[in-house]
Amino acid sequence: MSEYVLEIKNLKTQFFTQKGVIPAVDDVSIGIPERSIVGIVGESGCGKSMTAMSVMGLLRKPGKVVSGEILLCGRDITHLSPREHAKVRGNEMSMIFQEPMTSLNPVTIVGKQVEETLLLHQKISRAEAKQRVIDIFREVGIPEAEKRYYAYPHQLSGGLRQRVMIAMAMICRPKLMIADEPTTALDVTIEAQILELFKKLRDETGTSIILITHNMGVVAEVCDYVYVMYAGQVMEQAETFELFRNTAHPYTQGLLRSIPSLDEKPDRLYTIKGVVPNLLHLPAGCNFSTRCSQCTARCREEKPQMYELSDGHKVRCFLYEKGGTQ
Amino acid sequence: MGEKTRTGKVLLTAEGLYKEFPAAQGKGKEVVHAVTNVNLRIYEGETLALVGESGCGKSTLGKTLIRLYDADGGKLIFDDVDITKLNEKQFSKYRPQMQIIFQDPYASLNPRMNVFEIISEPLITYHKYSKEELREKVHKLMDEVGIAREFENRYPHQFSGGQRQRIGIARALALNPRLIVCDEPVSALDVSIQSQVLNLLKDLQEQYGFTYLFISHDLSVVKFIADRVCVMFLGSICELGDTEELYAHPLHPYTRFLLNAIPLADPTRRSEKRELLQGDIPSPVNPPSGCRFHTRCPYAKEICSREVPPCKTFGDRIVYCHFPLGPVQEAEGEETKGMPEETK
Repeated sequence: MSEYVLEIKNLKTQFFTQKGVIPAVDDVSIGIPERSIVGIVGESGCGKSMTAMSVMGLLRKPGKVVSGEILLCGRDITHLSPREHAKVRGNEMSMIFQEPMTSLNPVTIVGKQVEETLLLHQKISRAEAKQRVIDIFREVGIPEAEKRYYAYPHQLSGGLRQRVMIAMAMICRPKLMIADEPTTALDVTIEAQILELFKKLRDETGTSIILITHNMGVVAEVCDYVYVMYAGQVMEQAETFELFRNTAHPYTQGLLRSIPSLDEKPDRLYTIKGVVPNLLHLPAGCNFSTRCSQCTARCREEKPQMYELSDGHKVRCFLYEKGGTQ
Repeated sequence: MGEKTRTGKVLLTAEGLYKEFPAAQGKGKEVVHAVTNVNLRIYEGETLALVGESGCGKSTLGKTLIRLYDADGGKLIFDDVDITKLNEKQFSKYRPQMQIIFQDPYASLNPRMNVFEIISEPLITYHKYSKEELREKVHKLMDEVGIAREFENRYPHQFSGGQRQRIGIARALALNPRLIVCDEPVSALDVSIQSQVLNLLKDLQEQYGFTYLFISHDLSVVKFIADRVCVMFLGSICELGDTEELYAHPLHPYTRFLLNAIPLADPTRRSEKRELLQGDIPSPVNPPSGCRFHTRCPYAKEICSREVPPCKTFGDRIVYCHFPLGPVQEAEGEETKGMPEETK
């Protein structure tokens, strides 16, 4: 693949707690090409948010990047000082969160909050900054932009608040925007609007987007490339069409099969038996071995590598050790 | 219409149900119109789903139907008895027959009670069991929902979300209810756990013939579990009908937009030009006049903002719309006054 906006190489993020070391992100490598939407999917605790926090330099104690590299447009940002990280954040890369209500300041008008980002990173006059805010409000589809500049967060609906967050993330024209479950708190009709907006931003501004979600439907709808994570590791990665057509990893297969479909009405839903393992007590072998329907003796003892199935399609499973065929 | 609704008897009927809440404090006489003029029937043994977006009043309706809220207008008939005006003592005979499973398994279990105490509480309230009987009952319930008996002394925080939801289900089953309101029971759970809980609910229904009122915003989950679906918008019913038929041929424009908006887990069906609903949900404090959906409806005509749409029935389907969509459009819908006849 060509130029990467963001390249994560063998990232390991761990939390040093009293009970032991939690490997929240374990040897994760992710590449984000220019002008693309890349999905990171997985269930709660799979490490998808912690990967994003590591990239943004937002890890709190006792969390720490232990090893690996994070390259933003070729520049190593893994071990920047907090001050240097703050310069990059909001300017070259930005992030939006699940709960737009808790991420906005309730006592400041939203226009000022968006403006703040701009004034922090660029030398422009206040009047110019205000105009830029109103322009970006229009761009992200906030109706009556001039009036909404003066609105407080509680006066806006959930969908509009999320648009304000997107405006804030986009105002410095970052190379990369990370969206952590951006539509989970929204209703389906509003979710569809926000997803359309992401596609528009990718096509018109060239910003790459990392979309962190648990929803396979959202992935199928907007992502170009997908990483499936489980218990801190990438289990499968492929282009979206390839992933849904030739789903390889037993976990991805199970995940897709357990979603109720709109087309058919089975008597029972497929289930992945058991629960996600505790990261403090991971199995000796493959992290998924405790729940896998195709688990062998070897899976319980040995950790599988990433095996390449076809160009760009990689799977962490012994079934594919010899390539494409099982 | 499904088999259960054809043969089943009506378990619960709501007629012209209203529920209002005072709007934010200090705002004078403003009220939130949470539920407005709802008529529906729930048949014994069926799963009726209530769907709609946040703030549409589906949870309020669910709670009003089992009298966790007292209705501000209208009538509730449970098992041929008018329960609307019963006092606490009279109602206590019906309370155990209606139970509820809540959305958030983290908030709905008392953190200071262990599993045994949580499940046995309703049994102690309504029955006089000896210690051995009680233990046996609780153990049986734990078996039923798939929580190992040796966990009876554990506390909620020691369980995962899916297991907590199972404990919540066991508590709801304890009094052998007839109607169980499931208020978004799987929305807080991960996908792989969600399917386990949905299967459990279905198994239990088959075994004991419970009637479910299943409240959800997830239309694919509803498709799997429900026999009939009732779509709500801003406190009113838009459309009600058999699940399969309603999904295949939505008659209310809102139902169609709702179905179109679901992101499908299939990239080949990515809709390049999806019909998207514009705008936001209006405020239930000042709901729009006439049809409450008219401010977002692309097909709205002048009459829609003026008159509340009549209830039209097409076979088993009920639609509240001046201009229903679809192939049935030509067929003249019957306007019904008052309580719609769902079955003939």
